[in-house]
Amino acid sequence: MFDHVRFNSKDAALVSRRDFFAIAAGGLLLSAGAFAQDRSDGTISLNAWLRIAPDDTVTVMLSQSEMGQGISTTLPAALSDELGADWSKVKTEFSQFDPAYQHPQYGWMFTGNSESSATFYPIMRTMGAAAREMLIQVAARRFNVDAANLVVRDGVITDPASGRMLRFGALAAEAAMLPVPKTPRLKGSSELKLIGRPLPRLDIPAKTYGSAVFGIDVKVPGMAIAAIRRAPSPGGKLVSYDKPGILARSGVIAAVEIGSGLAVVADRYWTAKRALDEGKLVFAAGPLADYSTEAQRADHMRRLASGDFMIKKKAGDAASDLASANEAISAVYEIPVQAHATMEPMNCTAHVTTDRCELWAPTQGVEIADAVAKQITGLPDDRIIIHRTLLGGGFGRRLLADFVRIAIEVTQAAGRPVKVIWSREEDVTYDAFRPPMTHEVRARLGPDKLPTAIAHRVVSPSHLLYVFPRTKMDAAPPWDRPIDPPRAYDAMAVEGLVETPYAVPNELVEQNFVDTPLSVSVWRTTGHGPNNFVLESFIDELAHAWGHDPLAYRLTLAANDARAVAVLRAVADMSGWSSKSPEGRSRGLALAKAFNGYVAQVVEVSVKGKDVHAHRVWTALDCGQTLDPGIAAANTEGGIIWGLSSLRTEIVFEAGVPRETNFDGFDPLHMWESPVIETRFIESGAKIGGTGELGPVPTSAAFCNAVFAATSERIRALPLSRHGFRLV
Amino acid sequence: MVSLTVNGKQTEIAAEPDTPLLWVLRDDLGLTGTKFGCGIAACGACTVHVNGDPVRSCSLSVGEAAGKAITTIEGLSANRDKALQKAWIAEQVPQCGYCQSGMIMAASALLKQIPKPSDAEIDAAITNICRCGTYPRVRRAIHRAAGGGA
Amino acid sequence: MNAHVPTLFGLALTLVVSGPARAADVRQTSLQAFAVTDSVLTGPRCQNCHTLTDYPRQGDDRHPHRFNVMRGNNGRGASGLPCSTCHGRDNNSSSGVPGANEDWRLAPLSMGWEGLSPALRCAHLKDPQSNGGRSGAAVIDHLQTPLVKWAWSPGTDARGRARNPPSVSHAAFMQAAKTWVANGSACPE
Repeated sequence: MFDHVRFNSKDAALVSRRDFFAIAAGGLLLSAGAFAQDRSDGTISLNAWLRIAPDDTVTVMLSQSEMGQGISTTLPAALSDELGADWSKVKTEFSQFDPAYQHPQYGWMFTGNSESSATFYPIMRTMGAAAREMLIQVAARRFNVDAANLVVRDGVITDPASGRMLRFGALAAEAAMLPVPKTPRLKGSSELKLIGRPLPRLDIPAKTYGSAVFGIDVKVPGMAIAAIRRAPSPGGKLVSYDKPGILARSGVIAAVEIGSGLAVVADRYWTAKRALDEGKLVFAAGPLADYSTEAQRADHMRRLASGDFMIKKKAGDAASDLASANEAISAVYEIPVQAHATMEPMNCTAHVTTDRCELWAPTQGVEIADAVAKQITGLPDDRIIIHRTLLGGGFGRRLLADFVRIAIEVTQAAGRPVKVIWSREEDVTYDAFRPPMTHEVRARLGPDKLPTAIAHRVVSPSHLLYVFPRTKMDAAPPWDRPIDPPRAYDAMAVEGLVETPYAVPNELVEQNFVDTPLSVSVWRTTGHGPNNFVLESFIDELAHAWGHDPLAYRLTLAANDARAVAVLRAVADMSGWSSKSPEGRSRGLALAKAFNGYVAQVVEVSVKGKDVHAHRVWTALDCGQTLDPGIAAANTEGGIIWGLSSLRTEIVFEAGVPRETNFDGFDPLHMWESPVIETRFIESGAKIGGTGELGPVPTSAAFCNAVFAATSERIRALPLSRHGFRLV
Repeated sequence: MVSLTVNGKQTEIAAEPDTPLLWVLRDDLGLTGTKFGCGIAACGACTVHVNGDPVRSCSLSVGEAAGKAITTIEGLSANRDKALQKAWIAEQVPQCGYCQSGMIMAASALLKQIPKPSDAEIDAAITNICRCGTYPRVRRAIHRAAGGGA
Repeated sequence: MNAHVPTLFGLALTLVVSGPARAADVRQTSLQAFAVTDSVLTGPRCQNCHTLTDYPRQGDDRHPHRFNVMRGNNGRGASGLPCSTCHGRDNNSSSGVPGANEDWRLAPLSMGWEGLSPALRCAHLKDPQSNGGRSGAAVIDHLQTPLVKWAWSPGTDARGRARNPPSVSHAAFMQAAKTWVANGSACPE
């Protein structure tokens, strides 16, 4: 499936949307018959999630986008396992945008926040079980036996008593006419063959042989390619350019003005790019003209001192407990701006005519893309077709629809399909960055030196503004711009602080909302990453200041949280925490409760002067139930390396222009800088959490706590270079 | 016109000689397995083989590539039987997968020079950037392929 | 025997004929010429590949070459990552990667100059044991290879900014080198 993605619009959802809308979220309630036969390939839909072909092939629809987290294997496996299909023959297909695939609680269709497994795994099981029962019912009727006697296995239904068999393909049409069971029987864990096992991922062969199709690889008939160039200071203005000169160049088809710059459409990317290079583009500064990182840091400090804070959590009375203390311990932490820098730069292919809008996009946010398409073209839902490709990295960036907007504008002007490719410099400059945060923690300790009060003051722009409002709760176009006026509420800025594993009698969490001109949004680990760095560095300071072992201190503080204790003990066991580190090595520990899971991590470093190398990382995780241990381990290993990278990368603005615009300045971890990583998963049986972002949450603190153990130096401002340290 | 031999096939390209080979492969020849990641030879996603040696194709003009034997990820293994790629799948290396073509071409070039590389030799040769952090598995796959022979 | 030898011989005769006062002048001339040559050699365009480390350097600030690029066994990069992976036969203005019509590589360690005093550097330049077996005229020839001449057309970086060539033109550099050799290859103390 991932080898040659056929963008055949005849198979795409020109099926009437009304029928899909008729099905409540998850497609549970109504009969599938209304749309079952409406396909040109002869396949039968038993519900919004699966089709069966005459040759018995089962196609599972993917609601969630594949950005490397492996969800395009795990969810179909769950459905297939429950259904009893032949997994080796199961195909998958990225669905169109449809309410049937919306998150049942949030009410919109997206991939992100490590929620795909938790949300859709139960739905996959239910849909697979419902379809199984419908197929069995038909077989039971034909065999004239009790349904309970039949066995389903590998796409075949057998009556053991008589040896008669019927294949899925022979049953599907009749099964589709039956009402969908509301509470089908789910298999017991002993009956499941796929879930809980490490499965070879379906997308890996294509990614290994070079045939996988990412957004940037799309080719459709009649397609032209566009390059774009915008003001070096985000949001600046295009003042002038040599339009006749650009259009005179061989191979150039059009020059289209877009927000802050120009798109050149040509027969090849390179032609378009060279036209921009030599097109004499002149820009003027925009809203960020006076924006600098230096000024931002100073502004955040001023706000800490005298800004308005909104209370996000209040337990007990931290304020007066701290006020009454003779000694309250406090520390201020600074978190930098980060770029997503997905390996595949932003891109989108679009073809818009008067009665149809067709997009090919590597998107995490297909509903936002649909909303933007509707808003610009005025076309109704069933005239907007969005093909989702594989994503060369998402990390939250591809939830936004700015790259979709630009492609639609360019195709409309060019009058033909256009693939718009961003250069790396455009991709970084026009990122929606992880916002900078400044964070003060104050604590008062009791006689046992455990905190009796902790107060957090977080100065932060919103993480969620571009993304969160896009729910049924808060519909407000334009869909790819922040809400105006901006809302002060942002749960992500304080996540990981309002809910911790620690029992502290008095807690206060406050946020000062920064209305920044910088384009900011969600970034892998969202608020958990930065806030855990602060909390776990601070807890570590408390432990060390009073001679407590960091592990014992945390075990005491988290004693009431069994899952926290379990991951702490596990990582202590894995790392040999109680024994001395090898000569020249030091260790740091951190704990996190995040993304509905728990994680404890130990990082072991060596320090030479100011150069720090991470040798080993041990991680114990509890995500409730590990649906695929192989994928979970890969997500975790990769996530830890992501977390380590974030210790040394940043985007610094000087006079409104980012200093780093490519990998020569924005320098993530490489092979030789990567540690040996060991993971262990604890199956607590709790509600399923996600593994896409859990691993890196404690990494910054664990690393910095290790640096403290080695040097007695506390790192409070990131990146490491602010303290003169280098990660090598 | 530039004459190129790509994956064993000779072809004529009507492109300016200073066009990067990367974009000729992708746009003129439709070989999209070789990826664009940075354009400044920093990330390695565009790695191909030229006369058997690794080259970052964003930094090689098509004029300079003329007359040389170019191999892309698509041409690395005619029958999907290459030990390196089998090892890659066995170790489940790719995540998002975008950097992996270049990573595999770099690993292949290393194994040609050093059939059984040490960790230090892998560190020195594989400088490709992977934002998903697949490095530990890349390393394991290289060792696995080395152990199993060519 | 090449064209330079008669010139050297002729100059040697001049030395013999001129006497001690002239000898001091000749030495002074040679030293001054060396100073000009040395100003080029110690500039980043040359120094970045004439390192004493197991890696090259980059930029006017001479930071270690990014991406863990190594010298390797033969100065052409680690096995599997030869310099030619990125460096081609000409400067590449698209990627900002420099190149020359010669295999891009490091000078051997024996021809590394970083941190050496001018006296030591001068001695190394003259000594066939450390300068690649070159003497007299062969040293001059080396200064005209594509790699060396690259320093004077070093191309632009990834941002399109021109790299700084040496402050002395190649012609003046060659003249100074010849003058240095012709006047006895004098080294400062």
